Amino acid sequence: MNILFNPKTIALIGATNRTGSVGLGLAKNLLSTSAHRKIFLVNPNHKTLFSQKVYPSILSIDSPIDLSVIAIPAKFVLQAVKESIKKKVRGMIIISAGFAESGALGVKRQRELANLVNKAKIPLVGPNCLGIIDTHSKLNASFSPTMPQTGNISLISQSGALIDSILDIGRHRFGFRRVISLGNEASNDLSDFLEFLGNDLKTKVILLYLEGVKNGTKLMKTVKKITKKKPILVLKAGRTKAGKKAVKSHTALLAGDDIVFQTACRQSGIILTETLEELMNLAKTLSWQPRIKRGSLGIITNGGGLGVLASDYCRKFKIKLAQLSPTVLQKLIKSNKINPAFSQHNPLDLIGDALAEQYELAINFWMKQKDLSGLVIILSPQIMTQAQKTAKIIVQAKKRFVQKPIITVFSGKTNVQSAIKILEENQIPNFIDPYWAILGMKYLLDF
Amino acid sequence: MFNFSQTKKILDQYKIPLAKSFLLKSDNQLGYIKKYLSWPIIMKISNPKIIHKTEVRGVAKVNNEQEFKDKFNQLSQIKGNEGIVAQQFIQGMEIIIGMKRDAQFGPVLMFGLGGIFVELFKDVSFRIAPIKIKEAKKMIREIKSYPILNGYRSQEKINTNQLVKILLNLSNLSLREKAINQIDFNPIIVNSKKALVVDAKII
Repeated sequence: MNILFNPKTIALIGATNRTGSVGLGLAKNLLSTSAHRKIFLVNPNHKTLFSQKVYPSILSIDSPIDLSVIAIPAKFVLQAVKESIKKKVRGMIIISAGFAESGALGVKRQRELANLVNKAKIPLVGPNCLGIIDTHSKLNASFSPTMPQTGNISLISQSGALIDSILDIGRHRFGFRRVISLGNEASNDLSDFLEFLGNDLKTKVILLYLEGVKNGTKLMKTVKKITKKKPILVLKAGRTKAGKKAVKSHTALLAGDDIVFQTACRQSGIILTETLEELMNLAKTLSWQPRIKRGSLGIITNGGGLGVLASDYCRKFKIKLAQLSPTVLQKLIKSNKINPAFSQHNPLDLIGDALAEQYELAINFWMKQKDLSGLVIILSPQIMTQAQKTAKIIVQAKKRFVQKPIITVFSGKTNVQSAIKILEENQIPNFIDPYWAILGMKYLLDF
Repeated sequence: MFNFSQTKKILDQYKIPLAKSFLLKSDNQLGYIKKYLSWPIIMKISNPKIIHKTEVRGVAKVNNEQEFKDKFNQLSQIKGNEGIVAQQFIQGMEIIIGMKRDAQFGPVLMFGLGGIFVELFKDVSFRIAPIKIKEAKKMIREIKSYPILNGYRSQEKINTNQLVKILLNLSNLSLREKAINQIDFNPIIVNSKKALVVDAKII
């Protein structure tokens, strides 16, 4: 499957310069990332496009082709597939719609397609998909308007449009590794691509958007192996569909489709998210911060309210709170620099007048405590608060304690904006709402 | 839906214990029944077409020979019976264990307290088969009413090991018997010593 993501030569079958067409989007994306690979354009109706030679068929190209990308009307696809096989391509992406999603003729066409590629043993993405992206090999074989920046998140989606949204949400913030639009999964399916990403050392977090699962048993088997190594987050649509079959037993009545999906996720270690916001917030946290098995959490705050909210969420998500050890407590008291009214327990409330220096002392003393696994650092912008300076201190501390995750809650807008920028540029996730920080810690510490 | 003898056979095959039960065609088998069962005895219709036996007054508890004969005649009035089942009455708590075959994920197992607990509170737990002993134990501990099973306020502590065995055997059955799509063991009666299936619906 590697060849799909780093081909040396690509044939784009259906290249065109027609405004608003998929073929134009693909051509632009492929050509803009073509520095270290060669792109051949195929279209019998053109001689040249983008001042490049255009071939009437893949078979008229005289160099070997690793990957063929097919974006032509459905009725011509099988012919292009046969020619690609004859050309001995090593991977295929079929963008074209008009297969199993579109009636009996499409179903038949998809069956023939599957037979052809399975027999030739060629990995296939699609049909009816947006394509794929690999930021490390600089491949954009999709018609997505966004080429994401390099990172460790990989995304598999059954909706092309959702890929466009997620990549745009993540622009200039999250880095992606690979993006795969599944389409109809005529040959290689969700589990195949998951297994591939599971073995990919550059993928740290896998995001899934699903509408339906074709082979649940195979999926669970594949996923169980992966979730021991890296987190899989899923957002599933179509969960409220009413069951159709006649139900005669209590068990069948209670075990609706959604319950079954939830059970499958829990049993195989998939993190099931409820909203796009939750998916993206957890993706940010898991992408940027390290995980520690069965860890315990410390909370530092300059305001009681946000600290209490955070501890409430800890209880809700069953997160173990670390003790503030007597040694750390003594160090804090003896420093003579912390407001004597400070809380002396977890959450460590430094009181509203805490400056960057107080945060620095608290973070450095506490992080050295062995059984403290990670910190949520809360800051509300009070009149004396030094948001930017505190942010810089947290960035420094994070470099010293690389293995221990930090999430911040700089809670505000205008008064914390530039501080949040400093934090997030250094991959310290910030949330305005402590809820997301604590939920993120659940998955960092509960691994 | 499986009839009485099919049900008995498959439970036997997968070592899922059924409360001692006999299918009777006439009330002159009383002498035979008395040899194997002791009063009180549960009598119920065996009728694969009727899903809720209690709704047609198809179940009764009898304490002596006279009641037995009266009930036998009464239950025989219900149409479509393949006979009347006489079953040993057991004291204990009602449990439901079931299976539904999901088209994508395969057999889904369910555990919960029976009776109103399952109907009103839906206090049940699920796993996808196959499960191992650890998962089966978790299923039992997961339900909210678990303290009731575990001797809450000096109640009898029930034998959860027997329930674990049933869950594991059901997991095994569901993976092999692919033609079966739904199962309710409802109820299973469990006490400190044993857990026995009292009623099984297999579809």
